[in-house]
Amino acid sequence: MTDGMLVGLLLFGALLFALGLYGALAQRNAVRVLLAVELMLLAGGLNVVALTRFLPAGAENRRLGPLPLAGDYAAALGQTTTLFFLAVAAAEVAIGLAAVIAAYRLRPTPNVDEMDERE
Amino acid sequence: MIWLPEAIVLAGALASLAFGVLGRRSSPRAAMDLALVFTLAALLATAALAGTVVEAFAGAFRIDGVTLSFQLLLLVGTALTLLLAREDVGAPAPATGGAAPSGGVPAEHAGEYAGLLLLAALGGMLIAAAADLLLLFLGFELLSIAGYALVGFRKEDPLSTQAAVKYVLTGATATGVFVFGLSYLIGLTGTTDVYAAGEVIASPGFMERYGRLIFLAFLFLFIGAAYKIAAFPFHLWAPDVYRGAPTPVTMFLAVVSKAAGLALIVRLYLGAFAWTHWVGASGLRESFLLKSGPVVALVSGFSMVLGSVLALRTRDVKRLFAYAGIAHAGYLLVPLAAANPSMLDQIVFYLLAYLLASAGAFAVLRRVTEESGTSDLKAFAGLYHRAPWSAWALLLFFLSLAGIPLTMGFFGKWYLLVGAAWGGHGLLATLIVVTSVMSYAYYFAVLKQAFLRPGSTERPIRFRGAEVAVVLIAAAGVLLGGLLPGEVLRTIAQAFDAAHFFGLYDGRL
Repeated sequence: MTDGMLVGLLLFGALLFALGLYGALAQRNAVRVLLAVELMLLAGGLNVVALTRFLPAGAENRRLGPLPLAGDYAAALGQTTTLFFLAVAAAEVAIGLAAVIAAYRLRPTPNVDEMDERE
Repeated sequence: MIWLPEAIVLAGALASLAFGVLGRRSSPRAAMDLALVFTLAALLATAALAGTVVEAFAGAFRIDGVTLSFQLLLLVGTALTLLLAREDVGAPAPATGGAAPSGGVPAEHAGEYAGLLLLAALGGMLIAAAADLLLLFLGFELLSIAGYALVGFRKEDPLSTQAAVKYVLTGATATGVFVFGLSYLIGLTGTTDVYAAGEVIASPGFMERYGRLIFLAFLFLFIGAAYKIAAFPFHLWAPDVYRGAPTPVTMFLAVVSKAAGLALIVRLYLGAFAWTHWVGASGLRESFLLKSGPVVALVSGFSMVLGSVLALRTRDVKRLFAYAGIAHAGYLLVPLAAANPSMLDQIVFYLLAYLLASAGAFAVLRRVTEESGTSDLKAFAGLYHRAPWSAWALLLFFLSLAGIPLTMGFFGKWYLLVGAAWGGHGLLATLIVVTSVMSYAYYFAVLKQAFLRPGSTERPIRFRGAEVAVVLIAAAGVLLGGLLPGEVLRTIAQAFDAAHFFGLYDGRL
């Protein structure tokens, strides 16, 4: 429950995101790019959970007014949001793999830069 | 009772998917027609809602001027796409080993083709109607995921599947960036409501404390959303994807996706961030709009210049549209960079002009590429002798896209220029003029082929009925908007009053 823990979590999230972004931009293998993207999405999920757990800043909901358990409300909101992120990430990776497999059938290479057409 | 346009589109998507599975094999295009009927019904429902301001689902869903004007654009774009896509169904497969820029979609997949197009349109409409960050995100993803499947729809064509892989990988990366920005915004404000988040950000002491993280969140969200409109940092996917996708899907990406991406940027930027003021470290009053303006201007300027320069060098017409589309994304961001009171009207008018002219040009492009089996500039050679009226129509559309006077595109650019000057962005105004002049060069390269170069054959081109319909609708719209721009602008400003958007927000502050 300390500020130091929040800062640590945020730094870890930022690091995870940076790692994912580097992987997404630098990797040639399509499956590795998808893995890297997963890291980026998880970094977002971690951020939300950490921030809403330690910082119930905007817990006063505009529609519902001040909530009796404002801190818990914010934390629950953050955790639900993370579930959304995870579900969407799964859908995105699923269609990503489907596209990779479809392309692999026609030209058997997993590397994005070797898929280029010759014009 | 309100007939929600989203509900009609969703019903249409499910109906065409079901029809594709259960329907008769003898009439494969019926699924397309079914989807078209639902889209037109949604269009009527949207028009009937003009002037309403409603909130539903605890404020997560919101109908206002911005929602309706963007949904109208999305639905017109979708209807024109469906008309073109109708001709894809059962069209002959490309002869040249599958690697042709255009070609048919097997008749047994017609239902999925129509259903995915409608689902993507539904994603765009949800973006336009969402006042909740999670709903915005889900709309964005629905549009993206249906888009990935549509780009790779021709499974036997290596170009199409490779385009899908590239689109997915760039899109997923952009989603990662977007989610990271979203996580800071939701986490720091503790709410998922766009407007409530805006209130929290504007509350006293908030920006002083978390200003940097909030600005970081804005940057990530803006850059992630820039991918959808193919603007500068995330523009590299456009040429390959536009080239590989079936031509109606290319048109959908160029027109509908771009409009939806702008709706996303408008709602997030103007709803949550732009109107925040705080006292800075130096004791001076600072405004978010002034801090974020240069960022938007930078993205806008880079998109205009990069798109135009790259378009000059390409010889493939579909890639040319992609590069030109990057430049158009830059134009469309100008009103947001040079914030002025009528910026939404400028964006909607320019989008309408861009949508109509692009749709018409894509209809001609679809027929020409299918006739010649290539989307190289050479495919247009001798078009004037093979189908004179289509060459004249192409001239009209390109004049409008390039912004020559007496077309709708000219007035669109004119309003952008006025807006840029109004907001004090002389440099952006100059860039609009310079890149417009460059656009004459690349658009006229196509026209030169069509009018002045002899083709390899003089055989007349027969346009299909739906293609003719798209060309006629687009030409009528471009001419109408060019002859009566004031009327069109006034209709947009009155029926779909953007002030509703700010009125409610200002009342809350």
